[in-house]
Amino acid sequence: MRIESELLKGEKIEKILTPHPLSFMHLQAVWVYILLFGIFLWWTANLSQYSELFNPWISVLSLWWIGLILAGVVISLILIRWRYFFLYLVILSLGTFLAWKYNYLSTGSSLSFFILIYSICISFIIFLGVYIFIKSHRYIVTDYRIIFKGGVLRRRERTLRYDKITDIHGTQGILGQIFDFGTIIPITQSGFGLGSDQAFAGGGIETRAKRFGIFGFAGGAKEVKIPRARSYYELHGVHPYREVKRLLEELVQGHVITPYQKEQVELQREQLELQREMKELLERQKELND
Amino acid sequence: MDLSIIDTFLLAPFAPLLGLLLFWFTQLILSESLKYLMRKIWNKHRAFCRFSNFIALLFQSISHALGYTLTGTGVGEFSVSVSGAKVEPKREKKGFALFVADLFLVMGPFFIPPVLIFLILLPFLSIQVQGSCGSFSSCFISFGSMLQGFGLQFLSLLANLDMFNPFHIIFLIIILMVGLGIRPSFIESEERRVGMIEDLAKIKEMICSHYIFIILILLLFFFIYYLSYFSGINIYTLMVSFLGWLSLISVISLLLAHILVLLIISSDRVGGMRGYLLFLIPIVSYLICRSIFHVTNYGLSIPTSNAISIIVTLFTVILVFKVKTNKLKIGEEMVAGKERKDEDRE
Repeated sequence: MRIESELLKGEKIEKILTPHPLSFMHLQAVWVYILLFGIFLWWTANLSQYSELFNPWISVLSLWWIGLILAGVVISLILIRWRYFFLYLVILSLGTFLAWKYNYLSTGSSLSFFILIYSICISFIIFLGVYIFIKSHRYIVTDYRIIFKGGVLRRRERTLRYDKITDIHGTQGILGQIFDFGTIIPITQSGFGLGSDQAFAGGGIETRAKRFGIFGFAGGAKEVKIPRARSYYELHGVHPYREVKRLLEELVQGHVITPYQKEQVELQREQLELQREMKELLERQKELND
Repeated sequence: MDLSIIDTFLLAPFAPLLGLLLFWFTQLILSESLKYLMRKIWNKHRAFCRFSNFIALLFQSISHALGYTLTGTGVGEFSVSVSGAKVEPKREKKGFALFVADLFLVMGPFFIPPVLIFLILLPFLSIQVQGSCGSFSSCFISFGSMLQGFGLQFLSLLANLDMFNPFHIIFLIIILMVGLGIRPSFIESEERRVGMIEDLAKIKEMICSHYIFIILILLLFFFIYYLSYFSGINIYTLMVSFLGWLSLISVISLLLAHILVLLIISSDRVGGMRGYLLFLIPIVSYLICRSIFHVTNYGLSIPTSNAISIIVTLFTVILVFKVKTNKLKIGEEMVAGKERKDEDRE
């Protein structure tokens, strides 16, 4: 009902889309890893053949910290976003504080049990957060435009008219191919939907001979423009991918002036000019008669 | 005339090869049967079927790429998707190099994926050369003994898989993936199915177009056999047995994949939320068995729990098939077509 009130006169909704839950796999991986590592740690400390090694609580705590910190660093390096590292750091610090506060830092077994329960709780909270974030996305495809809506606390909205779209870029990963979802980025003339990948290489050398120093530095950078947008401003992980892409292509094509239509417009313009000239001539004639 | 010379020098090398051929054919039939079952669940479980197809295409393209790499052709382009795979050579080669690359493409998917499982198992196996190979029968016995030795070890390891051990669960998942990914169900389009006949046709085409190389490979096998025979070290049977072991791993993986797909089919037959409960049967039965055996301090807790869990699952699947369908023709007696028509009219 609310969406319909936002529509223009005569505007018709073609599709209302939300991202597929698996399209945000990098976010899902954050809680999945915490949960699996918590289970693994509990199993190692209690049921595995190496459980004796984990009798002292410090060995369990060390393994937990190493496992999560390393994962945080790897995820952050791959995604070039350090927020994941800091998130893991906060989770570890809070967990260690709680374990200390409630006296779980006594034996390896009790600490591993605490870590298991804590991991389940934290994973559930992150899962809820991810779920809310995914559900906050809404893409409304109408016959006039695409309305991108989203945001959990801050509402974001953008509308894109089909006549402004120059390219449609689509990507489908392996999971996307299996579950039939994909990301479609409409690129506009203004560059909306374009991002860049940057690479920089540099090197320096310094030599010192007694009091004199020579310093040299050489570097270079490369930038490649690629289709990229925030998940709120692209059709992220939409299902069914092929159907949505075809619909968009048809809608964009429908808003492009064809050569025949162009000819018609030119003809109408000429006719209009002719009528204006005739009108002027008639007015002049009337003046002369008067 | 003493025919033992013909037996020793001409027929004996064929014995392990025929044994291998038998195992490979079992593998081919089982993969076809799995594909048949997959087609049954295609519409309802498209994602699962696409996943298995992707695994199969990945294995196939890895085998093809391996063929190009080993022949020195090099891999120019490599891409795998759910519906197709592309492996382009770096440079065009003809003759033996092309034949080997094609051989890897056609036969590789049957033998290369199980290598992954074999490598995981290697530290836990004791490989021994059993018997001697001097005649057709002794070669066959030696091949069978080696296969039996490996099979028993492999089955014993499988039976002792502890479902409370995350590494064992990962190993089981790998086995299932190998089973599901021996051959793809479709290439390019989901409508274009790939079956056993197509595989056999490809092999026939390869043999017909490169029969000289096939003879050369046979001669190589004979050479290795003579080397083993005169040196007294049975490397020939060991070499063929290795391929037999890989085939055996594939067969067992395929059988386990069958259980999984049958469970999905029976879950579909039940339908609704009750259908999902069927997936809990192997887990719940396993947990109950482990708990009982833990309390009673039973020594063979893990293998017995695994066996009971599989038997209970299979029994449930059969029960569902019996109750929900008459596929097994045990629900009611078969009636003649004419009588059935009369009943319908009534």
